[in-house]
Amino acid sequence: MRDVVRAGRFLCDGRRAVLILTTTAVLLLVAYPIVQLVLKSFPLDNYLTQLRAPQSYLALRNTLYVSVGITFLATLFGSLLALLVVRTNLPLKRVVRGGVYLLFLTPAYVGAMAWIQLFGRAGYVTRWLKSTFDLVRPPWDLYTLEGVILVMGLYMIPIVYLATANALRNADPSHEEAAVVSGASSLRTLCTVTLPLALPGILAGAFLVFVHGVAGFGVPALLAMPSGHSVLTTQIYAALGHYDVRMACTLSVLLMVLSAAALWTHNAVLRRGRFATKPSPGRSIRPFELGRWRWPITTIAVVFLLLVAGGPIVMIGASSLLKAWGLPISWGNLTLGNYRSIFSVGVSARALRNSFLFAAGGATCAAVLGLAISYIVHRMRLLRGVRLLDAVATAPLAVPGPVMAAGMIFAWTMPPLRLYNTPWIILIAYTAAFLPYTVRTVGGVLKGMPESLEEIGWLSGGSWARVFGGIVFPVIRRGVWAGWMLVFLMAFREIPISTMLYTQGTETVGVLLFILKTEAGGLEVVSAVAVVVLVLTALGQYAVGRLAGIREGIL
Amino acid sequence: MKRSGGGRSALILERVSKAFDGRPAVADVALAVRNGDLATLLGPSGCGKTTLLRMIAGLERPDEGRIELDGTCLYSDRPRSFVPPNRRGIGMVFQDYALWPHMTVGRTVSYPLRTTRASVAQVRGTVSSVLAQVRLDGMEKRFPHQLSGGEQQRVALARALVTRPRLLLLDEPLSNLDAQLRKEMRVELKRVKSETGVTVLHVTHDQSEALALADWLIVMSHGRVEQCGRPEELYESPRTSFVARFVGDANLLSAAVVRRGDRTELRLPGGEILPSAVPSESEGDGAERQFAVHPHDVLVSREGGTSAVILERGYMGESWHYVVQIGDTRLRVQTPVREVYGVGEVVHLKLRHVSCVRASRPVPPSVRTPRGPASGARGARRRWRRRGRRCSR
Repeated sequence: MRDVVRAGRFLCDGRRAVLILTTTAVLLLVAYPIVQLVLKSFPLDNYLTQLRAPQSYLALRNTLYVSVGITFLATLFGSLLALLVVRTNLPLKRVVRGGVYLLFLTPAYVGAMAWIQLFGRAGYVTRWLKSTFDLVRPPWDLYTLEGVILVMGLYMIPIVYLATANALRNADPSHEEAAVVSGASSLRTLCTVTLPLALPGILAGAFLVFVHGVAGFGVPALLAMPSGHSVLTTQIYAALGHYDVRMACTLSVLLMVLSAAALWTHNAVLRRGRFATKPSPGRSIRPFELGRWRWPITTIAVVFLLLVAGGPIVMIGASSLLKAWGLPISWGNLTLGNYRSIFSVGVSARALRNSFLFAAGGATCAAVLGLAISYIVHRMRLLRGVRLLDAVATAPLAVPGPVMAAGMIFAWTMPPLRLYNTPWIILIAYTAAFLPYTVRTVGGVLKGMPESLEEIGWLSGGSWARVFGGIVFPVIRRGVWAGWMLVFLMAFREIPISTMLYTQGTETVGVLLFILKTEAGGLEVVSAVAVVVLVLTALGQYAVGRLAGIREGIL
Repeated sequence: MKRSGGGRSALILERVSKAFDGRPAVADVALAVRNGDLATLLGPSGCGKTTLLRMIAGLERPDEGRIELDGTCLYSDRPRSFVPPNRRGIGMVFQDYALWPHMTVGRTVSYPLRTTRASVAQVRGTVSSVLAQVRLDGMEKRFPHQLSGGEQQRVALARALVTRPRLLLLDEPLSNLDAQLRKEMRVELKRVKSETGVTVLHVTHDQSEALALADWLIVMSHGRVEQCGRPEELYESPRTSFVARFVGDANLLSAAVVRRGDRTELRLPGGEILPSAVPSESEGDGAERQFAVHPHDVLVSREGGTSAVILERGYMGESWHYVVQIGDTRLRVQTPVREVYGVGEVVHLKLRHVSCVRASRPVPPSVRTPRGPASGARGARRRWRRRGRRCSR
């Protein structure tokens, strides 16, 4: 009966048009550029040639080294902090959570800029150390692969933290109680029950960090490129810079494969590792007692987070108020001029406006398309190939920004659709790159909405459009808005796509951050832009939290 | 303090109290369980029975009182002492079994032994003998998700028994099983208990489970012990209205005892007279008291007794259940299958056995709502019960 109703609905209403339009859009926006890249990377000899070339080989090796390093660092600190906050009697938990949230809000690229201003060759801390201890060379060098690992690893901590905290919170407390009643000490319970049960969560977080590490562009470009090191993303950027199409395509495909493999593992771990656990309502988990280590551990955690999360933000804030970067930080040297100039002076004002428009436009397109895709996937299951549509639409998760940009260039430079050098290409790239996020958020809400709500509308005689507009959309509206906001935030601070696709007049905030610091503007102006990005991100995440109904924020 | 039987007490609780956020969950509980007995804590959900069990296990810390096991003090408020749960030597079966999803049956069951300094051979031997005891031989390599509900339960039981604990705690162990398995596991639990001779404290909200399993029954309500004793004692002579209703599923009547020659009668508030056997201690002054009477203790016939009208009836397979009305009083009545009466028919009633009860605090609403899907004869019986209760108010 249900099937007949469903099939009948399908045949004779506007949904056929929606299906055709959506499929076409997804194929054009997502599949076409990726296929272009893959086709241009053939024949297969290319791969052998590329891997023998030292440049590409080194880039691949560096990518692996950096990603593994980032994953290790983030997993270590992320899981430890989650364990401390969720499962022990640590005092000042709010401070620790706040620190992690601050890391979550800070874009890694902005963090890297702050680290340069603090610990770079002319950084404030470096200079102070040099003058105090009379050193000729700074005791460290930030412009190395290890520097990239350090900075990116720290900003990936929240990913592992979230995954681990979720796993720990969802664990059934009776598992631990059973161990304790069986005679196990706290430490033994932790090692034999708590951690093994949280392991899938930790691993899933780790693989997600790896995906982000592989895709990272801004931080390696800032810290590794100047010293001649390159990773795959920066190498693709460079290859496009000197029109080496073959290299760009080959490395892009390699990068996608690497990223897809990690993402697949992440999903597999999440799927398989979801032990049958449930948060028992009403019963609180007994926290592990830290005993006499309570305050020493708290001090270390709080100081660590204050330094790595708070320090860079203070630095950025301070330097955005300086008359010129490098001046000592004192009242006399402070000004609001930088802010005045970024909102008024040509290129930066334009960049802010462009970013706002592109991000809003991309978010809107992605939200509309994501809504259509989710509806098709979750409500037209009779159709074959629906899962394929979902797979294609979420594929950009495994496509790092520079690769997406490269795909867009190759896809849209030829007639009849010559979009390269127009604002449209950035809009399209944003839509394609961030489509998976709206598909996931809207899909999740739609999946949770009982189908009977809709079916009763049908049986009451409403047309499809009426039922969708009057019942479905109002119910899932918050999910759609949350997805929109998420995409807007990511697009607003995005760097590689616009850096590779912009032209005179279509500069964005990302371009500004990436290019401007080498030009006349100077670090103090870039810092002001970074502060604007930070404030906007904080406000936006707050809105997302409210929309998703999370009262205490995402952590 | 009344304690189970005459032998030596294994578990002794004195004035144990515990409050959560100022709300008392367990208030001034005292009880004793004799060595080798199976004692059952029975009460509606939220009555504090699980909290009490968890305090005995050491998973919750009492606010005050004293808990003693085999002469060892596990908790006392004055002088302060608290033995942590991992040092108590108590076995426990959790309601949802709490089997570790990442461990095989063999590892799960050997876990308590591996926390001690037992040798590998010793561990292996003990584990296989315990698994044989719960009839799970050869299942060592399985993971929990590869086991059926009944098997999971037995693994949990084996884990609790493997160290030969002094006390075994069972937290609603049968509530997650279907009706058939529940019956089998009752038999199984009794067998394992008599084979090992372990003292058992068992928590449940299911009165039939409690009556079937317990050597000693402790009924709790609102964090307090209402009554304890042998199951038949609590069933036949409940001391409070709560126990009468919760354990015996009895009707409650307000009535005064009237003596007429060698027979006694109950006079209902409306003046109707019910011929009834009355326990001698509740005779006397003629004042109105509360009496509990089981539905099967109301004798129905076509003549000879007080007349009443049948309001509703339901067929339960082994018997017929009716709701009858005498004046303003409604009673739930049960008759053998062969004796059938129609709705609206006038019948005559006599009471075979009543007990005089003291009023308890009102039953929390959760007692009256059956848990889980009610279907078939069980569900019908529950619905019937509820109807009777509503009527008898």
